[in-house]
Amino acid sequence: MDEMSMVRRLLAEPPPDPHVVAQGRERLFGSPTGAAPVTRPLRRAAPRSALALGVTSAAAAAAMAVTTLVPGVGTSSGGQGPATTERSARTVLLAAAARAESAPTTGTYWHLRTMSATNSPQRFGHGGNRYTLERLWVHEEWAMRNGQAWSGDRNWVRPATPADQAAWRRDGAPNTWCMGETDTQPPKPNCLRTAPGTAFLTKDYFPFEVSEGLQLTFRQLRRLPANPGALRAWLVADARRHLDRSAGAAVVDQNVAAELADLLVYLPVPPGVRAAAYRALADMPHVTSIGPTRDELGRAGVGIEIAEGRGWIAVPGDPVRCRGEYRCHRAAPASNITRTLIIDPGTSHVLADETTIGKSAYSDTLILGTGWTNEKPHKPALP
Amino acid sequence: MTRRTAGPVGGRLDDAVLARSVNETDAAAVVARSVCDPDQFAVIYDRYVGEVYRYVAGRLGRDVAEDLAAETFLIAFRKRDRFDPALGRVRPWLYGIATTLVGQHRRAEIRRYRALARAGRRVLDSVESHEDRVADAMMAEQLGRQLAAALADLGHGDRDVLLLVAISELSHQEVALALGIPYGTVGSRLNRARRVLREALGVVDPTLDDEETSNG
Repeated sequence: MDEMSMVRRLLAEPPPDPHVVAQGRERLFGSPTGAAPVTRPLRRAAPRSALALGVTSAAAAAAMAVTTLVPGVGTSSGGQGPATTERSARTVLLAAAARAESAPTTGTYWHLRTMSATNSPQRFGHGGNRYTLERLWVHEEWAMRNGQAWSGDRNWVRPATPADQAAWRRDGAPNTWCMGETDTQPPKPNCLRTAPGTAFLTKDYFPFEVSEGLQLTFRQLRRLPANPGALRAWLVADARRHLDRSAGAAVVDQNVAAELADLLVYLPVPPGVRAAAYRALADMPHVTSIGPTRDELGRAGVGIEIAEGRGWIAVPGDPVRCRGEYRCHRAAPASNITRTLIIDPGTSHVLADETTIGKSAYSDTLILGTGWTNEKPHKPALP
Repeated sequence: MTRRTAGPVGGRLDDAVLARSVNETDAAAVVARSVCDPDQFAVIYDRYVGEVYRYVAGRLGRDVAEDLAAETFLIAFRKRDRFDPALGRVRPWLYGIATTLVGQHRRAEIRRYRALARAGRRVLDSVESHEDRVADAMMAEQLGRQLAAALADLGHGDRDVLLLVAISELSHQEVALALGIPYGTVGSRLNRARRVLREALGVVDPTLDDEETSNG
């Protein structure tokens, strides 16, 4: 027996268990049970293209519970006045559609800049001085018409609430928390820091994820139907493809509404397609207006609520088994999911994209900038 | 040293490679189709997940392999539109991704070999007589320890080549494609790695060097 056979014998391991194979397939095709999910997994707060790149902190950040970006300025504080009935969701969405249609597309780069906030699932500190950290994440992406793309990220943390801040001070006001190692090479301590991390910019091609398992290139996105009926029909067909056969029309509609919202917020679709997405959303059931409101930066807009009903959400997993942070999450069913888009009808831009489960915040993304620009891709600046 | 041809390492490799290469064309076409029809990628997953898992498990243990095998296919799935069916081969493409992922866990890999070196694992078959069996078992374990210790000491480029061939029986050409290195480099890295292992096993065979050079 030669040394090669001996190595083979030394390192021989049995084939994977069937459940391991099933779990891997589930990670590929996003079905927690082996069968297709009845409703689609809930979108994460972050633009998906960044998640597709495996930006660890981004994905982790997006999968956890969220607090407000500006403590004390909750979104529910505005828009509950008598004016709410004056502008129906339909009116608002059709007005935004008209604006979207004439949105400028001059510029070399399509650009998106977002900021998300999530609470860390674990508590930090010692003894009586325990606190929750709020993780902040600035993400930017650029795409050129030829398909070249860049993305940049910046992360940092801070105590989540004034009470957390007090506990953090009592605990000695540390500025770094390390847990295990990163998956990078070489492995580095996996740390959260109060100082904004080094900004970085990655040049990469990335496909844009329209729905579970459907990724389109920049060019394919340009060819989506610009007619509301055709766009909706295309999304219905796509939903039928990735949903369980038993899914009824209501479930299909929930998925289509969510994907329309994603097109509006995160994807570089042309003005005609964006207008069509607004018009299609205006005709969807379970879409209501909460009237004039402000986002957490105080920007005025109109809140449009999409009742998404049931769905799968990412939940933090057993940290002991975690290697890369972004693998720590398992899907869990949730009901009573509501997505709120705060829309600026004057520009058709979406200012904020918030998801709540029941009454608690789940994810929260502010859109700090979007549209076409000549400004070259650069490392994200702090807000 | 003369360049060595892509000779199979074990006798039964030829047939295995042949069987795979026939279906490799189909697999490449499936990957191409999966760009527009993502469900098609399940075919690729089902076909290769077992061997990719065993490759990673061999290097990093079963726990990590669960994760990294799945990750390999996730990465491949995301990059499937960049796979060129005219030029590419699916199997080396997947092993290339898996090897990159394994490379991110180098310290864990070395820890595993050191643990195997401490624990021992038989690497030889038993023989007939009882007395021989006892002696043989001890020797097999001892060889396993020496081999594991030597694996920990290999250069990582050499180890990648050695283990792609030893665990997964990739041909030299497949290894070259998987690692993106020249064909000739595969042979020289493999020879170097094998020599280190033989030295660790205490194999003194004056014909070995001749074999390496005359085989080319």
